[in-house]
Order: sequence, then structure tokens, then C-alpha cells
Amino acid sequence: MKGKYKYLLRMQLYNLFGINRLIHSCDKQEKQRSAIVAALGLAAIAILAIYITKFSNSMAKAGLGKALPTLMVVICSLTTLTLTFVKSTGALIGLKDYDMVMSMPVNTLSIVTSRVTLLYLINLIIGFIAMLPSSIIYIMYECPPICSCLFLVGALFLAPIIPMIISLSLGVLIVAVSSRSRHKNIFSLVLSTAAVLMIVFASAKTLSMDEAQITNLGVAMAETVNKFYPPAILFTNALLHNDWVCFVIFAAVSLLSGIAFVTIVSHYYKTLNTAVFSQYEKKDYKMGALKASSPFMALYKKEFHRLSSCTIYALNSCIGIVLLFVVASFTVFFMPPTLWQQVEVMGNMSAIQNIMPIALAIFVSMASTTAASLSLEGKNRWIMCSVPTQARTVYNSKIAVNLSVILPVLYVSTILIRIVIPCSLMQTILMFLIPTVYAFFISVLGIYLNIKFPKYDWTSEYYAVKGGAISVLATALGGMAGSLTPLYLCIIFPHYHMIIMLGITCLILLATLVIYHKVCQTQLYV
Amino acid sequence: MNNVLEIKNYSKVYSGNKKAVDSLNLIVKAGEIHAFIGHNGAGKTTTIRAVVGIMDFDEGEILVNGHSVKGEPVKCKSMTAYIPDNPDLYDYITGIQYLNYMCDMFLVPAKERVSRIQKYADVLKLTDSLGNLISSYSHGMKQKLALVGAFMHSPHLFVLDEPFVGLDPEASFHLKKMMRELCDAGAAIFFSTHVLEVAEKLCDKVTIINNGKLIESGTMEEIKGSHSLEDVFMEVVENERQV
Repeated sequence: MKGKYKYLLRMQLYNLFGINRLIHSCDKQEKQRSAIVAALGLAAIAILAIYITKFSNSMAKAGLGKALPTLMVVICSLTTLTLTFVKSTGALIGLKDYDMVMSMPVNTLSIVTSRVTLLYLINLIIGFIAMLPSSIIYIMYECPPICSCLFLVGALFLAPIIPMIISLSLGVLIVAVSSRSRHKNIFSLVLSTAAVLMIVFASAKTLSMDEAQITNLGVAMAETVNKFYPPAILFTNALLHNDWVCFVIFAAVSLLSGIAFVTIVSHYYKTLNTAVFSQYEKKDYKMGALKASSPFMALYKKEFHRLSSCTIYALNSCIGIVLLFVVASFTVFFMPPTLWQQVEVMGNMSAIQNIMPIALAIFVSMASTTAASLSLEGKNRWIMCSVPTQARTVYNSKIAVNLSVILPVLYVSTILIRIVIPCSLMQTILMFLIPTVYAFFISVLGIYLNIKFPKYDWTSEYYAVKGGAISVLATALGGMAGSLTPLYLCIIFPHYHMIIMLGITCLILLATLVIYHKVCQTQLYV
Repeated sequence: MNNVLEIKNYSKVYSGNKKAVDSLNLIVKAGEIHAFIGHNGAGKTTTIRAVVGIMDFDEGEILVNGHSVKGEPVKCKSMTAYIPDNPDLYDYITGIQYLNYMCDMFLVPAKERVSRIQKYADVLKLTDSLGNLISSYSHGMKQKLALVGAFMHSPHLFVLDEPFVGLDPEASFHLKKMMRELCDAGAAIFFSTHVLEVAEKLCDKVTIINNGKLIESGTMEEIKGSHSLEDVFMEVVENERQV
């Protein structure tokens, strides 16, 4: 089993970060593209590592060094929990290479173990970025005994396991339940969105503290962790009290949960995949009248079918805008009126009113269906390339889908927020105008980056939407940079908020026009 | 008869300066079925992809009914139908949605769609399954659906890459008949195949390509004489290898 597991894992790793292409491709352009992807990936890792190092350093200097490892375990766990969830179905069940892999003389345990190992390795990278710099700073400032250092090293490898298994279990459960339904994609999408929202709100709850707690962060951290994520308290105890028993229990719980999950899923692997691949079939179609559309509308409708048919794609690209709607609804219907009075008394209302357009733009910047839309054409792209239409029409249809997803939800959410927060006419206009500009920006940026960095050779949509999809990552980073920068500047220079917001929005608009012009000049080839 | 497809000095160079196709010249006239044969990696698919405008190329000119594939790609594509060797279709839509999509893209009038779909889908025994998602189709059914989609706009040039792979004997029979009918109506067909018996029986002209270079091209009679096409192909390829 061990040998075959190794080969299965190696085959998946070949396709993960395009390393194999970088080494073996004879195509110079492809090599360059792989090198750029690698450089951008490394740059993203470096930026995150620097940020975490600076944050850890400031905490340690403020005398909160003891809380560092626990905080990082929690952050690592929550990140793993959220990120793994959206991968769970696509990376484990319903893969395009299922038939090929299952026809080989290898048992399902090896197959599932290799798939889970790959996910574990991805999470390990995230875990290392989150935990390694803070662990080093913890050791430098707190000088813990040698056994604590060993616990830290152990935690680096063990911390992602439990949240990963929780997320994967949730994902597999949703597949199992939704596969019984005729409309399994829609059902799966609704369940998955609900689950992600639950995870996000649980994360926010875990990391939220009141004023008293912030002054005693170490204790507060232990309390919140104890409440919401019990396995981490074992690790905290092990580290702070040099408790070997706690660490062994933490390691055992992590490893056993992994083993149990792999064993159970292996047992039902064939059943689950059969359910996912089986189709509702009837053989009684009768020809009726067909409605004609323009090429643009035909492409637009096809793109919408694509979005609704792929849970990972819809979930990943629309979660920002769904979150906005949930936050807006929560603000209107569930926010206690006393809280608003408190905000007014503290004099924060005008600041909230001023930054609201940019705050809305941040949510909009998280929603880009276009960043993966070309990659998702995959092996079907011969159709897109051979039909008699301008490449611009294809791009426009993909941009239009993203705008159709964002704009209606954005405007409804803005109206809801406007009901609660009193704003001047100018502020109200900006609340509609600025996020709209960002909606165009993120749509055009997504398609541009996907043209530059397409990923057509995927075995699961997950790999086009998330794993190694540089266009998605770069679009998210571009969107965040474009929206967080003005927010940051508005907070630092509150008196110039209007100039900052309008100036940066004009720049974003200009960038959108330039990028769109470039996009329209690009031809489509396989 | 007018030239529907003209390939003039077409070359395709992949990186590393390897010429996948080297100065290829070829003409396919209206009413002709033209077979394009060669071993794996000879340059057939590279040529076909350039002809249908889905792959860029460096040297030469390709014309469809006198229009340049490079200069007027949309015009050329609107006159061409293409079926790749492995037609991966959109799994997430139904067969009828795919056909209507192709009709929309090729601007087939709404009034004519139903009759055209009915005509070809009935022949290929696909009508009953058109309401199902394409993901539920077998490989052969996808092939048939792609074929029906390609016939929708009555193309002037029909380009097929290994069209008989995956088709059942009955569908192969009907496809051959449909190809002949299309050519009788004035269209031209250019297709690659490894099934030399089919090429021998069906085609008016044949072109043999080896290592990206045209080796032989002419009418079936000129090329094979009294031998079988298989014997001629083996001999030509063997001679080239020795050279």
C-alpha cells in the first residue's frame, strides 16, 4: 500500500504548483509563466510572513509573548477550517481522474490517504506561514525550556489536522446529503454557503473580546480558546506548564481523528463517488420551440449555468457579496438599538458614515467570478475558440455575469445599511458609486489575470478555482490592495477622507479602463 | 469548383525551434472530401487547429472561401464547422441547451432550429436524450451531439479530427452519408483519420503528412493506384524514414 500511496501522491504533487511544467516544458512562455506564478506565490508568502513577524514582535514587546503560540494555533486552525471547507468536495470526491485511479490495482484507503495528504501539505504551508515566525519570536522573547520548543515543533505539524478533518467531514456530509437530491448542485451550494457563514461567524465570535479581556490578553485568549476550540487548550497547557500528558493527548486526538476520517471515507469512497457521478436520466425528450438569443446572451446564459453548476466556483467567488448581504441584514434586523446609541455617544458615527463606501467596496473586491472563468473552460475551450464571435464578446459575457452577481446584492445591501445609518446625500451617492466602480474593477482585473495565468489542465474544478490558481489569488490580492489602501488612508487622515476616496476611486476607474482595453485586444486560442 | 480551403506555406514552430508543420500547401475544393493522414505527432491536429482558427501560427496563409483565417477569423469561423478528436462538451448543460447555444453562436434562424436538430438528432438516435445533462452522456453520445451541433449552420467547410472514434457502426454509417450529402450540396470536408479503409472508400482526395511535411497529395486514384491506401501509406512512411 505504501508504495502505491507514494506514487498517487507524487502524481498529484506534479500538478499542484506547476513544478513539473517548470522543469519539463519545452515551451519558453510556459516556463516563464510558471516562474512568474512561483515568484508571485513566494512573494505572497513573504508578505504574510513579514506581517506576522511584525505583529508577533509588537505583541512580544508589549509583554504578551506568552499568548503568541496559542493565538497562532487559533489563527492557523481557523484559517485551515475556512480554507479547507471550500476544497473538501472537489479535492476528495468527484475528481475527473476518478475512473483512471479507481481502475488501478490500488485500494481506496491509499487513494483517500493520498488525497488527504495533499490537502494536509497545502494546510501545512499555511500553518507554517501562520505559526513559524511567531514561534521563533516566542522562543527569542520568552526563552522557554527545551521541551516547550519541542511542543512548538510538534504543533507546527499537528495544528492543521483537526480543523482540516472537521471541514472535510462537513464537506463530505454535504455531498452525501445533497447527492440524493435531483438538484444536487443547488442543494450543495445552499448547504455549503450556510456552513461557510457559520464558520466565519464562529471565527469572528472566537476572536472578539471586550475591553476588559484585551487588557489581559493571555487569560482572555485561554478563555475564548477553551470555549470554542478545546483541542488548542491542551496545547496551551502543554506549552505553559510543560505538560507532556496534555501534548500527547493533543497529538493523539489530532492523529486519531485523521486516521478515523480516512478510514471511514475510504469505506464509503466508491458509494459517495457513484452518487456524485450518477445522473438523473430520462429518455423521453420531445422537441419544442427553441428561443433564440444573441451570441452575447447565449454566452452569458452559459456562464450562469457554469456558476450555478459548480459549488466551489460559486462559493469561492460569491462569498464576499453574500457576506455583505448577511452583514447588512444583520445590521438592520438584529443590531440592538443601544449599540447605535453607544456608537453615537462615543462620536464614532461620522467616521463610520465617512468610510462606509470603502467598507462596501472591500466586500465587492472579494467577489470575482471572472478570475477563474476562463480556466474553468478547461478542455471545453475549443468551443469558445471555434465559435464565430469576437474574443471581446466572450470576455464581456464573463464580466457581465460577475456584475450581475455583485450589483443587485450590493444595491439592496446598501439600501439596508442606509436605512440604519443616517447619511448625507453626498455620502449616500458615494455608497452606491464607489462600490460600483470597484465591481467593474474586480471583474475586469479577474478576466485580465485569468487571460495571463490560465489553468486549463485541472482534474477538479477546485484546482482552477483555488489550489494553485494564481489568477484567483492575484485578483483577490489586487482587490484587497485597491480597497484596503484607501480605508487605511481614511483612518489615518480622517479630514481628507473625501479626497482620498474620490482620488483613489478615479485611479481605480482609470486602471479599469486601461485593463479593459488590454483585455479586448487579446485573442482567444487553445 | 471554387477553393473552399487553401493552405499556403503554412508553418508552425513550437518553442525550441521544432517545426511541427513545415511549409504545407493544400487545397480543398467545394464538393470534395479530403482525408488528411499521417502517424501520431505528424502535424495533423496542429494543421487542423490552425485551419479552424483556434491556434495562432507564425508563417503562411490559410484561406476559407478566400477569407484569411488570420485577418478575418470570425468570418471564417462562421463558415466552418469543427469537431476535435475528443469533443469535450459543457457537462453542466443539457443536450438541447448545447444545440441551441451553437445555433445562437452561429446565428441560425429560430424558425429553422427545430427542424434541423430533429433531422440530424433523429438520424443519430439522439433526440430522446436531448433533455438530459451532457455529463450523463457516453463518449459516443457526446460525439454524436457535437456532430449534430456542427451540422446546424450548414457549414461551407467541415473540419473533423478523427470523427469516427467512439461512434457505433450505425452512427458511422450515417455520418458517412451525411458527409457525402453535405459535399453534394457544395461544401468541402477536410478530416484526419487513422482508419485508412474509411478514407479509401469515402474520400475524393488524400494528403499524407510526415514529420510536419507534406509527402503526397492528390486524388485517391493518383495516390494509391492499384494498391490499398494502407500499403501506400506504409511504403511512403518507410521511404521517408530511410531518407
